[in-house]
Amino acid sequence: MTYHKGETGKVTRSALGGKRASVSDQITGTEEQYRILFDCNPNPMWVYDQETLRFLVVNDAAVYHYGYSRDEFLSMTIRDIRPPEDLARLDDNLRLTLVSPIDDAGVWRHRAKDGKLFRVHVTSHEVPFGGRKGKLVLAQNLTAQIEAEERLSTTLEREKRYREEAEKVNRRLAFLLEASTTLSESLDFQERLKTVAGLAVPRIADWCAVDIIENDGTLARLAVIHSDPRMVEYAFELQKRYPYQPGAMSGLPGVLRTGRTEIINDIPDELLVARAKDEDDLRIFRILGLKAVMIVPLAAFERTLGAITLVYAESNRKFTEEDRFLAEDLARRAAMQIELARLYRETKELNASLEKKVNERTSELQAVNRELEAFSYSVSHDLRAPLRHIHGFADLLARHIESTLDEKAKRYLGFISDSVKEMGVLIDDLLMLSRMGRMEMRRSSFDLRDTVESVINSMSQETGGRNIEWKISRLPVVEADHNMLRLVFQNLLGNAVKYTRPRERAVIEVEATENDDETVVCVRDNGVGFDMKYSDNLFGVFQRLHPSEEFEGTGIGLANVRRIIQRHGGRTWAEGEVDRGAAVYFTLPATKKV
Amino acid sequence: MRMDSIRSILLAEDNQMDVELTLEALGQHIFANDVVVVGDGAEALDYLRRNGKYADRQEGNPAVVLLDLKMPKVDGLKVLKEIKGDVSLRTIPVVVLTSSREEKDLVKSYQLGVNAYVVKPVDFHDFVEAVSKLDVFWAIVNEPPPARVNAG
Repeated sequence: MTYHKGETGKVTRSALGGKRASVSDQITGTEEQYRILFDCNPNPMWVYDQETLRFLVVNDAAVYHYGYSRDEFLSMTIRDIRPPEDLARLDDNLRLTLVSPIDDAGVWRHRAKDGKLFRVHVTSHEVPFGGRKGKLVLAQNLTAQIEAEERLSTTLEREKRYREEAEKVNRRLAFLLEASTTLSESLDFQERLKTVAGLAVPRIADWCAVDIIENDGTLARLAVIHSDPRMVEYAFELQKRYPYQPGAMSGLPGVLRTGRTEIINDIPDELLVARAKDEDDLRIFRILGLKAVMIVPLAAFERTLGAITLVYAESNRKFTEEDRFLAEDLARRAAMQIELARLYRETKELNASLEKKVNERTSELQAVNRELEAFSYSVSHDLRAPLRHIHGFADLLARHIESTLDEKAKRYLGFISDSVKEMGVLIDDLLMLSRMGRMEMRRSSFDLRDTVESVINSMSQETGGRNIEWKISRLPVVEADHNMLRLVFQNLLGNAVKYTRPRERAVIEVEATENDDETVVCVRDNGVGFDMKYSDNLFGVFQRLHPSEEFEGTGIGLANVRRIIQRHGGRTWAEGEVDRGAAVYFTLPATKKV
Repeated sequence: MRMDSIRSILLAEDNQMDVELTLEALGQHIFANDVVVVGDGAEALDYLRRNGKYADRQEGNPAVVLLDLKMPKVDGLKVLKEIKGDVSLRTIPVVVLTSSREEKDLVKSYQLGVNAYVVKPVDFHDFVEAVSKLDVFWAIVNEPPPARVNAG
């Protein structure tokens, strides 16, 4: 760091010293000095004559602040710079100040020439002035200070008001929160309503009653909470004496009907006398000391469930809008909870009854299923045994008397044998159908084409010696019960082979198309076909569209196909035309890709 | 084929007509020289364990047991369970011969250790065929375990 010494420093110092010297030069004498203190004082000052109250001398600041010229001032009295309404006080004050020489006269209102009022703090001192008994006055303008104070006080006032408001909201929220918590604590709404009513007393009422509309339309007084527990009985007694009259215009019935809050803030004793039916009533009315009543509906989801009655008695308070909002809010929450509890209860009951029904139905179905199983077991075992016996002994009989049998007898025995065999097949097919419906599905992934080819190979006996063109297109891998799907193709391909028998050259096609939802498989032939009119009959049990002499079969095959495909969640249908072939379709739902 | 290898067959069947047909079927193919017929499961077990009226029968197990499932008193599955649970009986081949095509009977029989399960066909010729195959296989071709294993 570099210091500039020498000339620069000297110059500065001498300049300062010179200035100070010039001020002191101007103030030469003591009198002159004091004159400056008066004339140049930034606060308005003047001297007035204590007897005439005329201004004797004013300083520059007075001229500046009050707007009067020095000459005007000197023609005025100190009364002239005050608003008329303050003159009485001035006179009083002047009388008092005569006693004490130095006076802090306090705050006054002064008026400038333009009529503007401003506050000043006045201090005065008695001085002799030009032979007169004068008073030196210093008037300190307080306008800026007062405005600042006023601003501060307004701010403080406002802050206080906001704080009170906030506290009120806080209290209300805390109250509602407590109410909500209480309400959600248990599902026993009666218990909860009592607790909530308890919260309302004494915060927003001296006593409180809760009434609920019962299922039969009557009103039940659920709870009465009184700051004085002894009064509770009287409140109940009152309700007994004045039973609920749904038709009444005002009071509880009115509120329940309109769903709107009712406030009666002024209940004079005469009204009680008028309403009371007898002396006893009046006595109870007076004991309860009803002064103000507010009835708030308990409404939720557009349903009025009851009402909360809030009463001010001995505390002599009135219900305000604030109370009304709070009470309505409380009632809304309570009602909502009651409704929710009711809905919850109903839902639970409904669920329970549904579950019960499902269980009942399930066990019914299980019983039916067991019966079916027993039935089919019995069919399987007991129905076949006699058939076997008929067939066996017919055969043995034939052999036993072979030599004595004529052609006719042999033919009859042949019929017996054929019929029995047919019946055996029928029973087997029926059992298969029944089993397909009941059997547990075992899903696995396999190539449909493999299944189709294996089925075709197994039919060599039926297809031997026939001219059949097989058109098997690419078939997808599916997820299904392999044995069941095999049975489907045994039926469909078997039918195709059977119904193309009259054709010199049979064409049997198997194709599949896949989309997002399902795989559609079609087995088509150029056989005898069928009339579309009967396409629905095809899938029914024992439904045949061709005479059995022409085409053998029990009429169960397609029923079985439909049952199997249905169990896989798919559909079946057929298209055909007489003598123009048939096409049978089935679908398998797409396997969900994970 | 040695004649001494043909030993007795125990046929447990309650239906008299089925008994006759089965005997007929057996008789058409081999010498049904020693077929013991019992009418219910309890009697079958008595025979095998030499109890009751069979207390005095000659010692030794039959070459094969042909068992109907649906029988009075003790049913076929129960008899099968007893045989396969008895160390001195469990080596006897047991063939269930039944009208039932029910899968659960089949599964249950195999679970209990049946050696063969035959559904009696309605057609008598098929029946003869099925029975004769069994008979030939179990009574003649199949070599029983040595006697000491039988005993212990």
